[in-house]
Amino acid sequence: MKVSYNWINEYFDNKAPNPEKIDDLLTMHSMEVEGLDKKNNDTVIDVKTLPNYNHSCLCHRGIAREVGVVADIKLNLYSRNFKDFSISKTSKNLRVIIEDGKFCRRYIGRVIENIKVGPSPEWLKNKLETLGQRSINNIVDATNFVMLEIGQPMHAFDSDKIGTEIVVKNAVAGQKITTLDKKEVDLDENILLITDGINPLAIAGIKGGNFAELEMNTKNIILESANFDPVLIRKTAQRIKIQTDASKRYENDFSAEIASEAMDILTKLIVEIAGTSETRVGEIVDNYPTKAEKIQLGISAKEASSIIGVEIKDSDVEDIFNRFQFVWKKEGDQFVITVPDERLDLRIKEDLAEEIGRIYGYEKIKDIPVPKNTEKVKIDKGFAYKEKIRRILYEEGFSEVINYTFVENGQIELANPMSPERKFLRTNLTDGLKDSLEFNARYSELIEMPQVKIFEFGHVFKNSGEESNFAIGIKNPLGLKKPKEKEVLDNTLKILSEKLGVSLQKINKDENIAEFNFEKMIEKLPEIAEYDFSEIGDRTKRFKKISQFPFMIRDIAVFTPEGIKEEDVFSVIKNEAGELVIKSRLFDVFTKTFEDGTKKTSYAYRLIFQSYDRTLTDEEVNAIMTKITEKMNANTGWQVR
Amino acid sequence: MNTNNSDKESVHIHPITRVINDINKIFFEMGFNLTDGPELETEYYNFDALNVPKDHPARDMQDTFWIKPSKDMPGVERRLLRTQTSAMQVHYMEENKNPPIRIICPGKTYRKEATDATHEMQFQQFEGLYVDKEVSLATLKSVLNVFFDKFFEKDVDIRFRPSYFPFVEPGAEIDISCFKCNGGEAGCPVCKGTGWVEVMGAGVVHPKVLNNVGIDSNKWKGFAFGGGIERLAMLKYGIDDIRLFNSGDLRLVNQF
Repeated sequence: MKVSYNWINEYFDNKAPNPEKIDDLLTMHSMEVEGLDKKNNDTVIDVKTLPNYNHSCLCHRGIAREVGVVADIKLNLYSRNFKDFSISKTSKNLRVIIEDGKFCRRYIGRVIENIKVGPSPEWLKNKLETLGQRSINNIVDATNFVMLEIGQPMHAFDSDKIGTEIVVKNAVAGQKITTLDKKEVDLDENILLITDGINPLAIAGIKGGNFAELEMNTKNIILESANFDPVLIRKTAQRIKIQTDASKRYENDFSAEIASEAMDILTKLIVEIAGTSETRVGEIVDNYPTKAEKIQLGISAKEASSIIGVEIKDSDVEDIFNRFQFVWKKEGDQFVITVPDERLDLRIKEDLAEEIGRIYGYEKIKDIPVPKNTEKVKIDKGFAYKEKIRRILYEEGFSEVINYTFVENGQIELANPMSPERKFLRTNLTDGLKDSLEFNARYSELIEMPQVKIFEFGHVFKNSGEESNFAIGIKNPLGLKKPKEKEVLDNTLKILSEKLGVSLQKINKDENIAEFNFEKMIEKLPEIAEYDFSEIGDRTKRFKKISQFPFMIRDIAVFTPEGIKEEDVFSVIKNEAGELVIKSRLFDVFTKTFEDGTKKTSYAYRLIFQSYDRTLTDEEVNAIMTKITEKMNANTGWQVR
Repeated sequence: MNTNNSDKESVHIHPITRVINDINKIFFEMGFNLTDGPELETEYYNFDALNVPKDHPARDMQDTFWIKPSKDMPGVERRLLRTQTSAMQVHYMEENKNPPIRIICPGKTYRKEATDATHEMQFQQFEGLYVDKEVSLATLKSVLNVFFDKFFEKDVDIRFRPSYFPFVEPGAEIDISCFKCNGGEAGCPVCKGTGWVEVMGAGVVHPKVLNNVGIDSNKWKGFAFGGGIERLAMLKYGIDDIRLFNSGDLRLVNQF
């Protein structure tokens, strides 16, 4: 929800804390502020209202009230003074008929005659524009203002285009409506309409139709302030794929009590900004079949203390409830409030505990340690064996991978996939491992795995149910003949089988991959007494960015005189190659006695070149190699082979 | 420049596995049971039992992958990929109706959202649940303090900010003090200079969740918390793209 700081400030007669302070206070005690955006001498505050606040805070007054509570300052009922008027009543009668009070909880209609449609005053235009809304005309802008002020969506119809009746009823199958933005929408019997008895005027709570649309020469209007069933609006909006500012508020549910207040301020505003000397205002016609209940809710300081975990005193509860301007009384140790109409989120004791806690300040909560668990913690066989298997495989040089559950073909299909290639849930791990093997074989040098060896634990999904599987796979990069994939796989399975003490039956046919049903695999194995949490590997490693550019491989071998060490050779490479060599591997060392009796040691290095910001060229890499060669050959007795 | 001048094959541990094992170890030492469950869930376990009302905007807080109804099983309850490990709370409590309860459940979760460097449609979460007589935000805080200190291997502070999750009340977002710059260094890549890092959601278990599984909420209270495992791995190891974890890419795994 985006709100204007200046608008909020008007509730406080311009004495609100500054936007940065509001950001701090709301974030720590109320709701997250996602951004402050300076705009037209104002600041747009973007507050993240979650469903509990969405009943009351999808408007400036709701947010202003939160600011008032967290900053502990009083605020006015409205952001501006709505001028009272005394003008003659219209004699025109309006009837409001609601066919089903479950879906239309309340409908207030009112006729206003002899208004003048025109541009809005600057203050109103500015307010709307700051919030990214387009100014349409004074009547429409006034309805939007009221929604943004107190959260009640409003609507205005041209009354000369309809009779004297508003009928709220369901559409009939096959019926259509053309919306204000000229879209034709097919209706069905589950969609609630505002009608004049015959013609559809609006899709209730979602969008107006063009039948009784206001025009520049409209003189007489009917105003609507209504409340509809949130589930109905949500389902309808989803089905006809129209989401509006109004539907958002209805589907989040708000009190039907504010409808009359909204009608009152809208009327005053229209008389003020669109009134003429001839303007006549009708009585409100209030049809209110499903009246909101008044709810009493209590909590004691002791109960609040036990939920929050700090000592809350009676005086704290009093102070906090007063800040909320709750109407409360003390009954025994209970502070009983009459829940404000808007606060549909306050329904159980714990809701009040949260109000007390967040205003008291979560920062004042001190740790209370939990008692030691006196019962023996059960060892989960699945977790224990997974770790055991991992450790066997790490020792054999395997790495673990995690692949996507989503695949192109399978048995369990998604109703709403991200893409056609990810439409099904995987039925095996093998297919994913194949791709991983293929992928990683290309990077064999980069990942320092002459032979790619991987495994995965993961769930697979079939019509028969969800299973937990385990698979291992091996792949030789192009050019590597030995050891053979199958031999290494068979040998690994043999080791696994021996160390676990179970015979392994693979469920797939591939030569280089073995997949197992993990649950069946460990079924017959004994329980494990303890988890193995012992230290393994290097936990100090931190991530190095992965370059998206191709890498190049160069080998260099050099004969060096006796006494020259590996480090000496490497330091030459390091000095000359710089940042572009991302890995180097000593892959061969031998010492040879020459005919003249001198002993020389050959060091052979494989160098991997890669840049983080470009594709390297052969010339570039060759130039570096030439430099390294020259430097090496410049040393007495060194000879690059 | 990285050099590996030995032929000895070193042990590589997937950062996600490392994080899950650290979580498991720390909570196990605090007396928590490790538990696991299905990724394919019914609407009941993922939403209804967790006090997320039907046709309520709260369900939009997580975009859900729904399973296409099977023609062979008409009338069967709608199924989905779990959007949160919180569903495990319900499974476990149904099987273990006699508190005290202490569980930790790491596992895969799924949400239908556009992927980028910080968003994934498949990721892992860990869920903790503690049910006992004396339970408050203060006991929750103590457990999380122990966890984060041990996990980041240094003394970090914790703060609660009000938030909303349908299955807890009160509910809070949990921030930890920045373990990288220790408090609001301008330009810190981890906390963006705020000094705090958002790491999980938590709260006191909503009485309806306990009552739904047949645990008397007048006698017992609980706290629950849940956090993203990839997020912790990214923070701890400085990994810059969440999509690396599920791509079977050893250029990531073999760095660790």
